[in-house]
Amino acid sequence: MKNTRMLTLTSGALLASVAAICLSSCGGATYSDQVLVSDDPTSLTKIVFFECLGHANEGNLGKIVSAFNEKYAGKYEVELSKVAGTYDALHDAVNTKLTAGEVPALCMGYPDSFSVYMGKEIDDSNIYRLDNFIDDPTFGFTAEEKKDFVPEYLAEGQNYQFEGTWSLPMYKSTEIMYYNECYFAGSNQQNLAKFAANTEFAALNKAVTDKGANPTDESLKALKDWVKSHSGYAYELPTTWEDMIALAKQMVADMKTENLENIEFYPVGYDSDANLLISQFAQRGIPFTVNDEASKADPTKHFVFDNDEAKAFVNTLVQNVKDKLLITKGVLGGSKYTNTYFTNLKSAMSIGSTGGSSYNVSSNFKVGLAPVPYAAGKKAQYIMQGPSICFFNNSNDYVHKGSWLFYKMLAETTNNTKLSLENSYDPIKNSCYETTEYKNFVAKHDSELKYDIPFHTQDLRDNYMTSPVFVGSSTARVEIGNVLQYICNSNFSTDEAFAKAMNSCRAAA
Amino acid sequence: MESKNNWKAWLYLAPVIVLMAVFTLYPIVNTVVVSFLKDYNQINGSSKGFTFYNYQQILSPGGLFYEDVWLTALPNTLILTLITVPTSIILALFIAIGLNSIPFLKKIFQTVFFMPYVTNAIAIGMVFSVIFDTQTGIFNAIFGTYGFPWIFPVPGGATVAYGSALFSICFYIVWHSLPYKILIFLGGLQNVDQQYYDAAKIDAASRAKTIMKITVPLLSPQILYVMITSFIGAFKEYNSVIGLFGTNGGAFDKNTGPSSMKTMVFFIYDQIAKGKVQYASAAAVILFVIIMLFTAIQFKVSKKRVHY
Amino acid sequence: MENNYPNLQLVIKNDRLSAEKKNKLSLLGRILSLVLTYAFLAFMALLMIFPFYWMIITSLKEGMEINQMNPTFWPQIIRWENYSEAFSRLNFGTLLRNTLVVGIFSTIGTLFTTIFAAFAFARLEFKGRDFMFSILLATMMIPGEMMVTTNYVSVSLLGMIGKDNLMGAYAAMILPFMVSVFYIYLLRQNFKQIPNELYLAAKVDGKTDWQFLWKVMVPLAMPTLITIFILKLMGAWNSYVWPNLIATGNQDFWLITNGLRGTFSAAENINDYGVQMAATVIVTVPLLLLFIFFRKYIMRGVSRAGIKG
Repeated sequence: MKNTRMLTLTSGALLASVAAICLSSCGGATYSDQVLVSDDPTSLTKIVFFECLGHANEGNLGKIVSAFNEKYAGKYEVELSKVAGTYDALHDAVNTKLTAGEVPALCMGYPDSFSVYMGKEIDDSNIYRLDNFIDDPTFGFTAEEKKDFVPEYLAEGQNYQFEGTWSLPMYKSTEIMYYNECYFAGSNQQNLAKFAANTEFAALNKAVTDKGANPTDESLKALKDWVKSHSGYAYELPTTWEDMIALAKQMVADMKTENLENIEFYPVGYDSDANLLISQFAQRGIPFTVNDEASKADPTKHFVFDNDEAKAFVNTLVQNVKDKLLITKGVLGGSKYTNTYFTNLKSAMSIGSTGGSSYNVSSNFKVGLAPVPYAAGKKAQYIMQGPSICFFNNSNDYVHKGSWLFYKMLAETTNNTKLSLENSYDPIKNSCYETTEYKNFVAKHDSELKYDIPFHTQDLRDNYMTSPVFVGSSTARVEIGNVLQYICNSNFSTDEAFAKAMNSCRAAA
Repeated sequence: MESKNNWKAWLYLAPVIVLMAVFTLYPIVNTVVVSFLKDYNQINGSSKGFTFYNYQQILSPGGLFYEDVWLTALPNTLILTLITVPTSIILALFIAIGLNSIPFLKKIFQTVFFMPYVTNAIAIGMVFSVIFDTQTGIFNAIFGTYGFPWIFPVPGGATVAYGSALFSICFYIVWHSLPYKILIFLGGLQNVDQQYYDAAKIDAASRAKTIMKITVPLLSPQILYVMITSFIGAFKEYNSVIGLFGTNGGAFDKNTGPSSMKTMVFFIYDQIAKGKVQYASAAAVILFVIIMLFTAIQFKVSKKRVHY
Repeated sequence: MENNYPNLQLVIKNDRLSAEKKNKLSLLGRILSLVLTYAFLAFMALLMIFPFYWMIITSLKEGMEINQMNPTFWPQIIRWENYSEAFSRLNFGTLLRNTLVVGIFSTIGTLFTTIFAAFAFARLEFKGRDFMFSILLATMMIPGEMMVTTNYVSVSLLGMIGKDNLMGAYAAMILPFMVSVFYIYLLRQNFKQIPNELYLAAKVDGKTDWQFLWKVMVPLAMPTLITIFILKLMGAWNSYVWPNLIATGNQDFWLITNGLRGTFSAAENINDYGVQMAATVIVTVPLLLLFIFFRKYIMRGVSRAGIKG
């Protein structure tokens, strides 16, 4: 008796839940193209913007939102919906909200996340294509305005699994090489050993390394000239990847000459394994991932990094690691950063994101900035980072219009410049770089690292690269970043490591 | 009498049943259903029919996740559980009995032993890096094993052996789980009537004998509780892996054991993050079956030894 | 028969030791075991307290020192600004209010549901008791992450999500986790230890089950109940993932841990690390005080006067 009662209860619950699952499959309307309405709403339309900005960036965004709400009072109102945490936390929150049928108007994030909102069938996409809006005669961008965008930034929004523009940039950052100017000028272990008894050297060295000394270009040059004239160890900044590796070899050899080979020192640190491999692959023409007809039919064909050139390049990197020339976050175990080694004088060069500049500042020496060394003989290609914005399908057309108008305000030259510079990000339009705000900011470049960064990145605009985006592209990025770990820390062979990475990617496609 | 108890009992259980039905049983049933769906899209709830595909990918040797689960996640989960649970229970028992028997400084010790419970997880992670760091770690300094990699490999040099990583994470897990257990045991010890101890003294029983023959049996309901709940909790271990080895679960020499410390729940969360809820559900169901079996065995074995 | 041995002493021998020596030895033994116990406890205590100590010194360091390779055991420069900055940036009033409301109500809810359920499982005989209990235990065997999305959808369908729906947000944060099988099981064990004689005696006195529960069982199980109270309250204090989801869209709904993560971005600013740690310390102190205050209620022995074996 009790058993049958239990049985009916459980099967009833089962049926109810199956029904509920089917019911919950109602989200917002899903169209991949929308059309801008020409009029404005008569009642207040709320525009919900999901963001995860940190404390430092919230100020300017808040000002833009207030200005927007004032301008369109009575018609549109932007509401900021902040998720505490990283972009991943934001992505999870948006995913869950979409499942519950709560659709925001726009959200910020990375293209990898947006491709998940798109899904695999264009008719099921939660976000819509923006070309109609961009080309709209009244409210879109004119041909001039379109050209004003930094081309790579726009192109990033067009590299998805489906044709068209699916996202627009908010602001961008990139990678840069931080280097120890004092080390290069001659204040290094080798010289300290060689000129141990020399008072002249000691004085010049003190001038650049004393805490709070704030070494100037003159004092650094003085040191370097002295060291060079006394056959000491001074180094020149490398411009190509091969030069950088050769320089690293030289540094290690010099340390050996001075009997310092037991000191822990790795000339080059690269914090993001994934960025290292993706950008170097791109420059050398090594395939990584693709969006093409074959991959549309079979998603596992998106991943094409399992090739001989890739393996050969990775092998050279592994050798570099074994020779103690190079360290990466992965090689360090995955939870330590190479910039720690840099600020603690155990590295001379550290390549990392411009967003994390405060972690590369040291009171022990002067930090210099330089473009990331590129593959010799090839065109430099730098990784683009930083959030973009995507727009969600809503049943209310005015939400689409309001979102679009809001984006236009975010992208407006002065607004975007102020928004970006607040935390050393790069603004998205060429005209931004000509504004007085930008010029004033960059003019202070010798005083603090955060002003120095836009000063150096403004010249990198022509060389940004994008990777194809599709469902599973974030896994591709994670896995290619794991390859060095697999080989160096887990002793997998190169073939095994690539096979392992490909396997994970295929499972995530 | 029995029927009167029946509806009365269900009345007492009503709030629990209602809340659980909505917030626990329904999601669990949902998980089971989803584990049998092909290409489940969580956002719009669509799928391509019922299938065993998800389980195949995990259980059969040719599957996508065979290596991840059978060679890494499952062994890690089992090893971690079998090492940390007995160790922490025995340690907690000793500490609780010790705490209960000392004449002064009781309050201070009791408070101190509760500290890990209120310490922020990030700080804990930092401390363990400090203790187990390869070059500058305290552990290596104390035991003279300079440069021995417990968590972090030496770049271009020594790799971390699975055994070393296992030691550090077991240390972490045991450390973290002690306060709760000590609290439960201490509470249970308060229930032991002093007259039992007095009787034992009259009989001139040694300290060890008192513990084994009186304290432990009288504490057996709490010990059983801690055993069952600790095993269940240990099978779901996840936070310690992230805290110690980062979001990738660590990379150890594959010749010394599994190449990472990823556990079953790590695999599950990873699949959810990749949007593949169907694989996560299948793995959750498999884990559920394993934990169920384990718990059933524990109940059977302990039936004769628990005294209320 | 005369007393020819004036210095004869009566010696009780046991194991070839005199009574006096045996006394001394057992005293020595007790002192030794006491010393060993203290040493053992002190060593373990040091291990337990070390991370807390680290938390405090990190909260006083500046970013660069935290990031140093050779960790310092005392801040080189004590940065008190970490605390003032934490205070000014963190919206303590709202966060505290939310956390207390959610914490206290969910704890009260848990206590009641736990008492009722544990009573049913421990004391009442009914059909399907063991089966129900196994189902309850079984629910502990599924990882929580699997239930997040489904529960969010349920909570949304029940109308608890809305930008200005504070009551709804509270309900959403309290209800799904009010039932805790961990605590039901714990209390059931405790209830089962209460001797049957008491129950029979109460029945003889004409007391109903309800009265027995509240007048006898609950007072006897008070240490366990207080333990549950503290642990559940701490759970609300530390909960993060679920409130983060519920409170998206309105920072006024945030609980303390959401505030900690959302207000400081250690990833972008190296000094925020220390500030975040300072905020964490500020948030942790009440928990510790709570425990210290309630500790004696947990540790107080239960008198069993009136029960003779």
